Amino acid sequence: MEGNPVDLNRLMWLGAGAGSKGIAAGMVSGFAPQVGITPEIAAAFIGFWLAQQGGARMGAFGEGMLIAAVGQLVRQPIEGLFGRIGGTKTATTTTEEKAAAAAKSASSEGSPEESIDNYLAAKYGIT
Amino acid sequence: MRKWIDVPFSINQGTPGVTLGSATTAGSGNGVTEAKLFEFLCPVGLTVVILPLSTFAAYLSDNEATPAESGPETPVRIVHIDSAGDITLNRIVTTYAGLKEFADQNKLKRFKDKFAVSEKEKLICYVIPSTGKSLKPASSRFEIDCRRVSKLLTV
Repeated sequence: MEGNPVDLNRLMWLGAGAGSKGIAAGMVSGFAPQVGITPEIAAAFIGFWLAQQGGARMGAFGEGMLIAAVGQLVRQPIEGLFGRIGGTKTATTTTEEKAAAAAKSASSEGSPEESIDNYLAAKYGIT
Repeated sequence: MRKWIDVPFSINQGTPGVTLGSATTAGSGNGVTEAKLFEFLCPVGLTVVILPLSTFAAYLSDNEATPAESGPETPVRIVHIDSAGDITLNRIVTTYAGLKEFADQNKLKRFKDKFAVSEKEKLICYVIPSTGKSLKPASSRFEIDCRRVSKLLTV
């Protein structure tokens, strides 16, 4: 590896572990809530356990899984501070987003049955 | 559940909720004092929607011995009063000359704003008879074309 500090073999297994995080989380998603943890935390434990086993391949694989799981866990707090990070809109939304969505839904109400004020605002712009 | 409808609506002498004003004494007009042409009290369960394409037309008759049409310079205004009766907004302020057309869509007087007249709110039309003239609402005619939003009767 002289002259090339990047260990591509290790990097590949890190990536494979990160990519497999979702599989591990999915495998334990059934019973993880039963023990009071989310699948992401369970996946982090699995990744940590695999990384502890050592080995050029499975150790890196576990590390990748651990990194991905921790990344997933810290994503929401980071998004809370800096806004949504790229990609498509996820099912997880903040309180403000939910309120905005509810307001938008109300403003586009097409029938006066629920609220005549919303109906007049949506159809005629009368507020 | 009863269906809601949003349909064209007309406010005129025969519309439920419309009360005509009292005729003023012949020759009593001073060019300042207002006389009420009509008052529309929006019924419960009904919302009247006035849009910028809604129209207002009128024929004003005086109460003189020989009844005649009011002069074109006669001031007319429509005020919107909330259900509590303490907030009043002018919705149309014009003269009779601009209200005479009942048919020609290009000449009909139109409202400037869009607004809703909710239940228990009022639209009142005031006229200022010219000096020495009067107003006889019973012989006058008016028409506001707008829309109504209300519940349909169940059959």
